[in-house]
Amino acid sequence: MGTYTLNNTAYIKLVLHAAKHPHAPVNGVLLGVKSGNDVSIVDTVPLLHHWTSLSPMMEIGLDLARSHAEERHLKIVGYYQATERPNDPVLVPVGEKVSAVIKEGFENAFALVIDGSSLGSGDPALIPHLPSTSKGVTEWLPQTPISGSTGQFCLADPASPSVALEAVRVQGLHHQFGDFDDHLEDVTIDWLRNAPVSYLISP
Amino acid sequence: MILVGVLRHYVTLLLNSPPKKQTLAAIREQRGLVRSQVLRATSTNSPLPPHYYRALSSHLIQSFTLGTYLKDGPPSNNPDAPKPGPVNPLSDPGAMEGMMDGMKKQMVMMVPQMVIMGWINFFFQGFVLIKLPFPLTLGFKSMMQRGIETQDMDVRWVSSLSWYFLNLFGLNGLFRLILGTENAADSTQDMSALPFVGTPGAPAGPQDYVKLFATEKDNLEFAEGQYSWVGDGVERRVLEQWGMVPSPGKPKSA
Amino acid sequence: MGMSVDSYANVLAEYRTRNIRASEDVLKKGIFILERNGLGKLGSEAWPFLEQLALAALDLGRLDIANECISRLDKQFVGSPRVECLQGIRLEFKGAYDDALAMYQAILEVDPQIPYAIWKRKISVLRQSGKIKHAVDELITYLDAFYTDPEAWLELADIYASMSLYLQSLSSLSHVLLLIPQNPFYVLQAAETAYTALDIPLALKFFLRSVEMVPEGGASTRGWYGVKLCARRLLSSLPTSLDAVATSSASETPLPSAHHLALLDQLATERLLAAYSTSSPSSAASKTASVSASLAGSVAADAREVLIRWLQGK
Repeated sequence: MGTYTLNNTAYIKLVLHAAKHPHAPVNGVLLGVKSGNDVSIVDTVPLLHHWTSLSPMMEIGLDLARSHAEERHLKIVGYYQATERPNDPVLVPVGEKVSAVIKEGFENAFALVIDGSSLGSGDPALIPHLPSTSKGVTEWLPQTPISGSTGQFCLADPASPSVALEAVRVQGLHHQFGDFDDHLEDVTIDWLRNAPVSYLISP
Repeated sequence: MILVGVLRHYVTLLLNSPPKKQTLAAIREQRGLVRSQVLRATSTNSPLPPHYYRALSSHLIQSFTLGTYLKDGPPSNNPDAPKPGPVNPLSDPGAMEGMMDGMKKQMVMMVPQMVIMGWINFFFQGFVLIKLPFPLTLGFKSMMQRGIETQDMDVRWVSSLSWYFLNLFGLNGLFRLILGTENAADSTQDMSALPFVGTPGAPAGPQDYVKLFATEKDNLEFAEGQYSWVGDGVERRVLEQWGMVPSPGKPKSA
Repeated sequence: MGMSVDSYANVLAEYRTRNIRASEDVLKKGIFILERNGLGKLGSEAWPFLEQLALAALDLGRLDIANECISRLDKQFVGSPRVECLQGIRLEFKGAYDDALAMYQAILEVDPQIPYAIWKRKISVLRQSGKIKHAVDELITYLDAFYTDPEAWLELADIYASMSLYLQSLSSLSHVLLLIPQNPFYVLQAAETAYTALDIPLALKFFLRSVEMVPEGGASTRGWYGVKLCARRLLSSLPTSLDAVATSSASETPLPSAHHLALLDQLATERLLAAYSTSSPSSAASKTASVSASLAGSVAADAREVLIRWLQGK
């Protein structure tokens, strides 16, 4: 089994997205490369926070993000979402659908669910999901939550959660963070790279 | 007089009966009409596609016909049952209470007013109380010297009764300071209000919802005839807006 | 400068009247007022202020501040449903959904006025704690009496959408459209719901309606993307009629003519390109202007390039 490693930028952006919309089930995709059996995730492209159960803007956002990833010689390797209910971090049906679409383009696709209840505690607060097919039906099953820089799913830098918390609480970076929904209201918002934020978190 | 005003404010507060309990069924009945009014309001340029408009409209018509929204349930088909005509306001305990409430308040307003006026008339009839520090024209004579029938007295002298009326209206500013803007001591309130009408905002009489719903049903059927969807021809309108197809209204120009 | 209890209190009062949540700002300014003992200065405004601050504190997990506000309110208004509602929200925050539910239920049974705010709160707890079916039933009962509450219809539409019941979601949204016909965002939401329900002809109509309402700027970009998406999908299935799914419509909405579809496709492309070319990075000038100045140029180019490839694709 290959490993999945999230770098600092990817992790912090994902947290910023969830922090900006604490009451919305935000979602987006993860960009990365595969070397050998291992996948390393290097960036996050945030998609929606308005109507996360509806498909048209998801479809368009996915297309645009894929095209952007190709340009950077990356692939969409995974999907992430925050949950509607803080106590119940499960992959919602829409999440399964999107993950399945991503899987068509990348064999080792995975999904992350952000556990809103433990996000503020300094935990990585991510629950990975992997597909398992039996009798032609694909189910996305939860794996052991990410706990640091070891395990099948891990963070490149175990300090990422504390850096992310500081980015939210001290620097307030999530206010400058924009996703595809924001971009649709103001096209100058840089949802693909979030360049100003990227610059500050990994100068 | 100030004391009487303050007293009156508190007596009115005491007499104010607590808001009546309103059941869910009653709210539903009152607001049943709103549904169809909302639907009708935009029917000539409706945001709803025909499929949804028709479904909603026929659902409402059916509900009104069956009386689904009536507080006491659909009327029975028993011909012997008394016809639920408009309720007599005096026999409906709910409406009666509202009227009594209004009357009580009116009484609190009127009684002290009458007592003070009688008292002044009795003791100070014909007295001249003050002299205004500025001259006035003769037109003010009847206003300033009520109760004194003297032809040639200077208008600057004010009689007791007139002084009372001046105070009556002049004290409102003071009450507002003492009791806040929503005070009940403001005596001009009861001067302008007709007795037994009740306070504004109180529900206006009992309604005959059976009849109202029947009318609304006709209105809905009429509105359905006029219905058109805003989405009809929207592609043409948008294309015209951006000059992709010639618009029929304007002459074709180069 | 401008950092006084008065000016902050005014901003917070403005939030209250305009019903703006802005929890972070409320918390920051609220703590400032509390620390400077500004409560006395507020007079009777102190109570709504404490309520607002308690809600903001609960939003952001500052239980200490929330506790302080709620205990002050509780002392002043013993047994007030509004304070009890706050206590219920505090229970929700702690995850004690069942206790919160019991609390709301008790208020609802005692209070004859049918406090609809608490009813809605109860429905939201039901949803939060996963009792979706129960939440839907309660919402329907609520809406049966309080028909003109668009917020509740939106909630119902959202629940249905999250359960993949898109046609039911669209029915709920239709009431929102009736109640607030002038808001283009609800038209867009209806369009996207129709698209997700695979009623593409209806989705196209709603998208077109939204760009008719807002031709440029604001909500229009979303609308033009939607027009392009639908037009492309319908056009690709038209000549062969093989893709019956794309042209079928549960609401029996007629298709525009092939000629109009092609023109709409072309128009949407033009409008999208125009939106990306007129946008100047200056409006995005943020606090990090100095940092992003060097990057700003590439931002628009990046997004534009991706768009152009998308417009050419398929």
